[in-house]
Amino acid sequence: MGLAVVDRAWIGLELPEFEVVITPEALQDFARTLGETNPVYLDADAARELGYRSIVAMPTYSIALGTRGDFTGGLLERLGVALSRVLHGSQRFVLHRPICGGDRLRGRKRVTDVYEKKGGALGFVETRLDYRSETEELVAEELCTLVIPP
Amino acid sequence: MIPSAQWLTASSARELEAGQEIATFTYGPVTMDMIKSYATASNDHNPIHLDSAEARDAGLPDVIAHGMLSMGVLSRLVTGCAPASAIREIQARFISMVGIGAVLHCSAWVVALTLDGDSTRLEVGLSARDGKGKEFTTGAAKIWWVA
Repeated sequence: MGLAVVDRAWIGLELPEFEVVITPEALQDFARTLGETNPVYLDADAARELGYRSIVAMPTYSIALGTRGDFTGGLLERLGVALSRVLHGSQRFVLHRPICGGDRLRGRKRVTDVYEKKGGALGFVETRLDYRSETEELVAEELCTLVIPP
Repeated sequence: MIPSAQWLTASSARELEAGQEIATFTYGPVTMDMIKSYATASNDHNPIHLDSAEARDAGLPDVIAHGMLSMGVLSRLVTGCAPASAIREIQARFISMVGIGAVLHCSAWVVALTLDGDSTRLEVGLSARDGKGKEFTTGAAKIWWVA
């Protein structure tokens, strides 16, 4: 048996809550970078005409809020795992309503599952990051699977 | 907003059939500038995306694009054909790495259509492949018009 690459004791570990204010400029930059042309994601007036409060975030935009240095939001440092060893396996966003410019959100990330495959050679860490509004409304959920090869 | 995509509404979506392609476009070739720009916009400065020497130290032939860049590109299949308020979920699996020069052939197709009274729930498949059909990133999205 090789050395375990993951530890089930990580399940439940939570990172400190953080607060973010969504700026229209950051939403625009993100959309432009991906080559988006739908004005709802680029222009506040166009978005308001369609009934949104301001520019709408692209569906994967919240990833930029939780990266905070490395793409896991500091989780790897907490787990003592080197960034260079980790692969991004899969990612899911559940959107309860569109995120818009001007939104103030609070993010809370925790480890929801840890498991191994291939006789312990491959480690998996699943995380969940919830974004809530100032009124505690659940706005978006980000579910991530990290893969740690031997 | 993608030339090949038809704009979907609650009623036009009801006419779709499983397997039907709803949007396609091509992204790339991927350049260092695109990766740098995505690193800044997404606040992900992992050196394997930005520094050739660091990428080689990590066992890669050269820098690779963020998996999330390919997912962001796939999301355009959905943002290009459905209203923002109807996009309820998007997910992706990162199958193979996207290097400099890669061209992503992206497509979205109907996986399932569920009609429930006046509500329309559409599930679409998403994929980004190279010119030979090898998958870079695959995914799915849920587009709901809930009455």
